[in-house]
Amino acid sequence: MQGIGIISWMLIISLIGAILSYGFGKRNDLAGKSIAIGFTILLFILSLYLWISANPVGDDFIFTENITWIPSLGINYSVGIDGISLPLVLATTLLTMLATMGSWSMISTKIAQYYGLLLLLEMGLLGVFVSLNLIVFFLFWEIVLVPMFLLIGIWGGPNRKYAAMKFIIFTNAGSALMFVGFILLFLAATPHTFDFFILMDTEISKPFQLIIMITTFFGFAVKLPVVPLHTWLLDAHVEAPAPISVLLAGVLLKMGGYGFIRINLSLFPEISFAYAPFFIGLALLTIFYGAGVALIQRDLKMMIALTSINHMGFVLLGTFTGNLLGLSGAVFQMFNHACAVGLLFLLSGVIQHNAGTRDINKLSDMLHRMPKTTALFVFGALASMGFPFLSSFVSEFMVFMGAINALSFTVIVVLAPGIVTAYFVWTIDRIVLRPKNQVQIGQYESHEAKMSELIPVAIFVIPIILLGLFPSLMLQTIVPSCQKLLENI
Amino acid sequence: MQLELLSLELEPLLPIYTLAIFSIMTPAISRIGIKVLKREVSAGWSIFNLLFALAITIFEMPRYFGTPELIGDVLKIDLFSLFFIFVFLLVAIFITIASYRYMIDNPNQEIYYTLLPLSTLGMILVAFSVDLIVLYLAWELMSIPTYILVCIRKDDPLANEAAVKYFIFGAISSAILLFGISLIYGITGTTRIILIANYLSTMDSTLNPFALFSLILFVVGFGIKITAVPFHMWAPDTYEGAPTPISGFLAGGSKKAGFAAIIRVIIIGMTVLRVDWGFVFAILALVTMTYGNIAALMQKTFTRLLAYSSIAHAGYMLIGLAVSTSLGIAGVLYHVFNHAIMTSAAFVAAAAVLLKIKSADLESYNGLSKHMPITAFTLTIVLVALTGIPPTNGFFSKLILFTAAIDAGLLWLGIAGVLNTAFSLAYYAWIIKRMYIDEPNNLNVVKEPISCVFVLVIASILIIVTGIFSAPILDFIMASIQTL
Repeated sequence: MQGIGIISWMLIISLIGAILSYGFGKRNDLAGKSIAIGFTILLFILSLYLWISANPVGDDFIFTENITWIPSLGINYSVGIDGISLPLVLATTLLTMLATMGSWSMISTKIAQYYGLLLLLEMGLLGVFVSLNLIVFFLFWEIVLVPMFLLIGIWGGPNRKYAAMKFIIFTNAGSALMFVGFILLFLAATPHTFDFFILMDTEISKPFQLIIMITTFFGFAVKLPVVPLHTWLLDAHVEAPAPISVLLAGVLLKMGGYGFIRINLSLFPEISFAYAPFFIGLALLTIFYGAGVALIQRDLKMMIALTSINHMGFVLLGTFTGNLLGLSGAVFQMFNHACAVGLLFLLSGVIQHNAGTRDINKLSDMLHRMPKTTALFVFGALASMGFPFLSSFVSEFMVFMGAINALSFTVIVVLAPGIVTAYFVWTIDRIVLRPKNQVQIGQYESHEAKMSELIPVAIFVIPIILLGLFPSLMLQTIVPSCQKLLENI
Repeated sequence: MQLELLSLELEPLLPIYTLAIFSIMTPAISRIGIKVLKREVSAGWSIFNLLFALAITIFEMPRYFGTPELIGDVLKIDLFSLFFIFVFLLVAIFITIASYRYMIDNPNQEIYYTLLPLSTLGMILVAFSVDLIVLYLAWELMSIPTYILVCIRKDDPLANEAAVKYFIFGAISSAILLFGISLIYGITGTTRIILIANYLSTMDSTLNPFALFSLILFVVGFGIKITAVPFHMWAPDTYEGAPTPISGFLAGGSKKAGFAAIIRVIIIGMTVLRVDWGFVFAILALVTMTYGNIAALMQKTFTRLLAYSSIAHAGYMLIGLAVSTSLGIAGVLYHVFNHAIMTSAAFVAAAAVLLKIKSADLESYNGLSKHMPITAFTLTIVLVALTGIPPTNGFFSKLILFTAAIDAGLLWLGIAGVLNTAFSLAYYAWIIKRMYIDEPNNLNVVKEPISCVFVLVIASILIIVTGIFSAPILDFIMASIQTL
């Protein structure tokens, strides 16, 4: 009997953190908040330790654990990480930590429940990225639903009930179909098993692969989200409190991208690449739809939500290019997008909190009213546009190169950052530079955000610049695993 | 039926005897009890009665792990029946404990606490019997007390309506079953299930229509009890009008006895007609779960919603019967166990809310987390389990059922089941939304009924624990299928 490894400890610690911050938060708000922040910092340090001790990661799964659970159904508790999941684990702990810090002054009701659910959500998200058994994967995948549903539904905006119900119905319908795919995978293996490694070596017939791909597609596509399955995301983002939007866009959407890489490319690659043009078409649709619709938004948060749809389209594009550049670009893009969009969403919460509105047509002259917030907003906008020397530039460039190598007509995708730049610049022009007296729709009172609100936002700057200047820090983790994945095909 | 029944030895059936004798003693015991404590005495005696039966069963269990024991050729003690004893006793204990607070002001308590264990005894005998006549007697012993239990509040018009409807459907069910039994007896000349199975396999093909007709009668007769659509019409009205714990008893107990009887009579006794009943069950499963889920979404009261939810779950279990591979039957048994816990706990929660808020409307669940926090939290776990979200036990039984369906080539049925599960989340999550997200109508904090809360907490723990550690239960179920 081997002992419990560090990954299980991370899951257990987040569960304990959830229970403790709920228990203490019931009696004392401050205690609940502090415990939650303490636990998220601890988890972030643990994931940094994973990253540092595993760097260079090599091309195999590390920190693996395997405990028999239900042998008669081929279910074992099996976890481990490789270069593809490690950036996502890091993104999960980083974003949860900063979202928890950002909630300090933004969330003022039902503190205990909020922080308890937040840590429970972290456990679910971590579990999805580390599990190496389809049932364990599905378990954590479903665990994520419940806290997210309640977090949107209880602490959200005026239309929160509708958004929460829409979220849970869309994602659950998707995951139910995905589950059919998992059962089919189970039956395809001999002996029947849900174990990831055995399934990876199993030869599955082509028609069977096609059915599995269609069913699992819905689970991942709803999460990613792929246009036209994205409508839940817009409602969820508009209603969710800002720190929850950070996790929703920063980590939850990556579950879809991770699923495409981990399940589609590893378990039934032949059919996935046979249908790659279909996925690339969808990716282009998602990229241009996100960018185009973002142009006409009035709500700052809606605009950022559409930006993130656009960026997730790059992930889908890179995944199905079938070459190393595109795939590792896609994984890197997931991490970078998490940081950039996390910054913007958290900042949108700060702006709403201090200016009382998120309406782009109402906001004006932020340059003089709230200069520090403005600086961070402009930085976040640059990061999202893919400005050189910021991390997204590297990953989007890699995806471009990979995509053009795979299918030359995808060259049109270079137009997308142009649109993104256009609407960000236009937005900055309106909310930052426009003088007060040019606003017709009504004035608002605002004041500069407190330092305590801005510090969690400012921390996002560090990985964005660091990885923009030294992308090899992260790429040396990602590339070997991607290479191995592509070699197995 | 043979006369050896009279000469059977007492020992192996001890829980049955104690249940029968102790139940009949209940009115006398409660009269002996001190005047003030009368209501506590009858409830306490009933709980003792059931716990004693459970203890004996656990104590005697090791001797049945070997070969199954036949008693007078009519009762068979095997792991299969032991499994069902556990399910029935568990449900009965849950319901009895929860009833304590619910029935406290009812003048007919002694009758209530006499009939409840007697009906449990009937269910246990249904699972034991391998002879159609004994099965029929057990069936009636199970059903007749529940007719009275449903209208134990005799001045409540809703309860009377419920009871009349239930009684009429129950009587039709019994009559149809009896007709089916007589037809089978006419064909084969025996009422012992194992002999029937042997005879049917070598049957003259001219008798085939009669066998098919009796199969239809059995399906309808049992189908009424397990609330398979289109034989479900009594269930929503009865569950709504009956005392809420009794609704839980019907959904968690007597419905499961119907499944035990189907496995004994149709799956084992009529194996030859597999093609026919496999198809019938597949269609019934599809219709039942789809109808149950769609109708549940449209209900205005929680008890009716639970009634339709439990109809839908009967549909999931019918998938396993349609497949009837060993994996499929294992799925049925595991889901029987899980759903018995879940549905009885859900009805207990409904009873607690009805006691305190005086309403079963869905509106009265708004903001329940504020004035009944433990009930709301445990009910959430139960609803999550009913949906089938891991790591609750409801997930694993559905996993087995759907896997079995797809494995047996019924891909469409498996996908229909998964889609139904996804669809059902809509109304389960809706109640969670009401309890946690919506604002309550009144902000009074009420004292939660301790007996109901006790049951709910135990049930929630069981749901989680048997979900996470499902391997031993699955092994037991697999072993019990071997003994069938």
